[in-house]
Amino acid sequence: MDDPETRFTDLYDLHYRAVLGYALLRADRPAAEDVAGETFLIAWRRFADLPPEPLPWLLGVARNLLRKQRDSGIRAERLLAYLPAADSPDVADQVTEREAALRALAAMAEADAEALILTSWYGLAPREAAKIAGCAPGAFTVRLHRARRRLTEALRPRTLQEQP
Amino acid sequence: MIDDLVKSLRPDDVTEESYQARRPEDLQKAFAAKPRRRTPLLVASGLLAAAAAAFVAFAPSATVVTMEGPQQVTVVTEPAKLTARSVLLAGAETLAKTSREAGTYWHEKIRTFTTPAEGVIVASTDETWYDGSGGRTKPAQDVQTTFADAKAESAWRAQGRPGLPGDKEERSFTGMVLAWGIGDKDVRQEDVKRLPTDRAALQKWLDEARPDGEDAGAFTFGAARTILTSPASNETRAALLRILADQEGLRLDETSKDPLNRPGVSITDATGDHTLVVDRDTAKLLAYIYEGEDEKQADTPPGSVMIPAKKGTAIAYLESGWSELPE
Repeated sequence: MDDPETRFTDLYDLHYRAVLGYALLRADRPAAEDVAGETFLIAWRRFADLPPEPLPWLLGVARNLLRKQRDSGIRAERLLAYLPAADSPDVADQVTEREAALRALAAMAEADAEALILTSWYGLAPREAAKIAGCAPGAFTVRLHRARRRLTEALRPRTLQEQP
Repeated sequence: MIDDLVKSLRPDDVTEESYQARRPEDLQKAFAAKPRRRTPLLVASGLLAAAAAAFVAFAPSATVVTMEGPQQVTVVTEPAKLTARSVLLAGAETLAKTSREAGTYWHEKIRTFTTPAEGVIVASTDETWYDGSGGRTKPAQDVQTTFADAKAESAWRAQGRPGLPGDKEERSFTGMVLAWGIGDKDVRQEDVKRLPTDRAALQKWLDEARPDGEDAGAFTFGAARTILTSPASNETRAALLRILADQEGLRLDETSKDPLNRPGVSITDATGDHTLVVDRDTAKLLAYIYEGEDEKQADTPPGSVMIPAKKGTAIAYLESGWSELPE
């Protein structure tokens, strides 16, 4: 069996990007990197406690650390800076759509945006995501449906406007 | 689909860049720290580790909110307005008016229900008397196994009948120190009796015990389960119920029943992992139910035993309080 350091390194390699991506929602990049680093430091200290599927646990630790950040809340400007770059000018429309979606996402209530991100970015089931979000699974499912509806509605006028 | 659109916003370029840049430093920093040993649920010291293993096997829950006696009062008078908060605050009021019982030994009788396999429930009753260093045990009484159906029973038998309690022998013991793990602190019976009775002081104590990064609400609820089922003073328990009452996300079921079918009010924490069933009239703790993921068995210091929590475990509190050893 691999030694703990090897297993921990595998854990870091597998989940660092996800933890950082989540932290970037609430903190600027240097602070988010610090939170991600601190999350894995805690994970190492408590390595024996980690559940078999550790991502929800890691995101939960990151969330608690982020609560201590003064600059909390999802910021549109910050998120826009991280918008994936367009591969070519041909995908300009796609970028515009994504930028619109990002602005709409950033304008949503934080809990709604978080629900969308936990499930779509990380593929978490509602029960797992609910633990990170600090609510009951049923309440999370309601929140997720509401968030999807609100984001769809927020994007609808723009889509119509752009149509010929 | 909206989920695909949201997924396309994930900042993979940024996270990859940071991952490459921060990895060496993060790993170096982590490995400079020692991994913390898991705080065992119970720790038994001394040369009686082997005996301790038999003892702690039924003792993870220890004790209960003690409400018997002439000063017992009805604490909830307006069911329509019942909330988790009101139940907890009423319990605190009741506890604050309850005097400590006399006796040298903390006595408790609990019935534990486990789910060792799908559709199988094993129940057994354990009784202990403990004065901080010695006492008596009556483990694994009235073992009963129930099955959802014949298929569950045959599968359980084919697996070698897992989950049946072992030693049933009644015995006395001495020189054994037991400690409850509450976050980063281990507390012995003497420590539990001296826990702060003032709400602010108890909150400070809990904050100090809470491990880095652990959610305060879930931690407080878990600590409450330990403290409410320990020989802590009534004043400490009352302070704890007041702290609990201010937790967010508690869910209340007024028509709940405990594993022994006793009616009560169940209060579940925000994670859904932990449920306390409380007697509505007396605020007495009837049962604790764990529905979180199975905890992993971890290394513990020599002379100690860890009891990992298992999903589907319920502990019903039959009797508890200070007493003398039985004849």
